[in-house]
Amino acid sequence: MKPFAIECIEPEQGAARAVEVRISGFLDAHTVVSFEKTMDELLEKQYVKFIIDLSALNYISSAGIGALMVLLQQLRRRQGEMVILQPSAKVFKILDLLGFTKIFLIKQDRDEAMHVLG
Amino acid sequence: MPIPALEPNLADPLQFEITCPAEVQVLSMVRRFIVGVAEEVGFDEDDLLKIEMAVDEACSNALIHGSPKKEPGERVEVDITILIEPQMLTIQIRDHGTDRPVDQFKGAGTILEYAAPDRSDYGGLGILIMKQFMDEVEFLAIPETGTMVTLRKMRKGADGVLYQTESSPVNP
Repeated sequence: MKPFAIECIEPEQGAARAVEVRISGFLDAHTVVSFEKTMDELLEKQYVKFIIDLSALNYISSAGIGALMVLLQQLRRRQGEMVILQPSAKVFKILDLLGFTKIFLIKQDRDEAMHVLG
Repeated sequence: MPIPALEPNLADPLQFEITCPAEVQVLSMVRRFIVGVAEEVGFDEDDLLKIEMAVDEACSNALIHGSPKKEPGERVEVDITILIEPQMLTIQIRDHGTDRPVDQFKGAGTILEYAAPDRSDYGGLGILIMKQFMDEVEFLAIPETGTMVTLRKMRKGADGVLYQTESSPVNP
C-alpha cells in the first residue's frame, strides 16, 4: 500500500491564486494530524483557494472527511473555496455513499477546478 | 485456479482474537486484516468497503478515546474479536478507557446535520458510518472496565439472499 504523503504546489503569483495539495496513501485517524498541520500552515500564508488532489488517495475515514470539512468551513469564512480534484474511485465511492459528493465541489479536470476558483 | 471463498454453511464458527497496542499506527494493519477475512468468506466489494470503514471508525474510537493515559513503559491494548458464523460476520472491539464522554455513542443524525456550516466541530461521523454501513451495531460502556463495540454484517446464503437479523431489518 502506498504510504501517506502530502505535496503542496504553491503558485508563483502568491496567495491570490489557488494552492494545490496532493495527498497520497490513506487519510485516517493516524495520518490526519499531518494533513491538518499542513493545511494550517497554508492558511497562515493567507491562501483561501485550495485544490485538493485525491487521485492518489486510496482510503479516507471520518477523520479525513472531518478535516476536509473544517478546511472548507475555514475557507468559506474567509470568502474562499475548495475543490476536490479527481478523487480515486474508492475515495469517490466513500464520499458518494455518505452523501459528501453533494457537499464538496468535485471536479475531474484541473482547468475546470481552476476556473471554479477564479 | 482460484481458491473458493469459505462456504456460508461452514459447520463450526471460526474465531480470531487480536490484541494490539492502543496506537493509531496499527489502524491500517487492522483494517487490512479484517477486510482480508471478510473477503475470504465471500463478502462483495461494496460490503468490503462498508466493513473496512465501520471497523476503522470503531477501532479509531477505541485507540484514541478508549485508551487511558499511559505511564512511561506501560502498554495499553485494544482487543478485537472476529467471529465468522454461517449467517454473519461479527467484529467486537474492546478498549480500556473509563473516562469517555456520556454522549460518546450519540453521533450525527444525518449527513446534512453533520455538514451544517455553523458547527463548532466535525465529530460524530464515525458513529453514523458504523450504524449506516453495518446491519447491527451495539455499544456497551462497562464502568471501570472500558467500552465494547459490536459490529455485525449479515452474509448471503447459498441462494444469494441475505440472512436476516433477529432484532432488526437488514439494511438494503
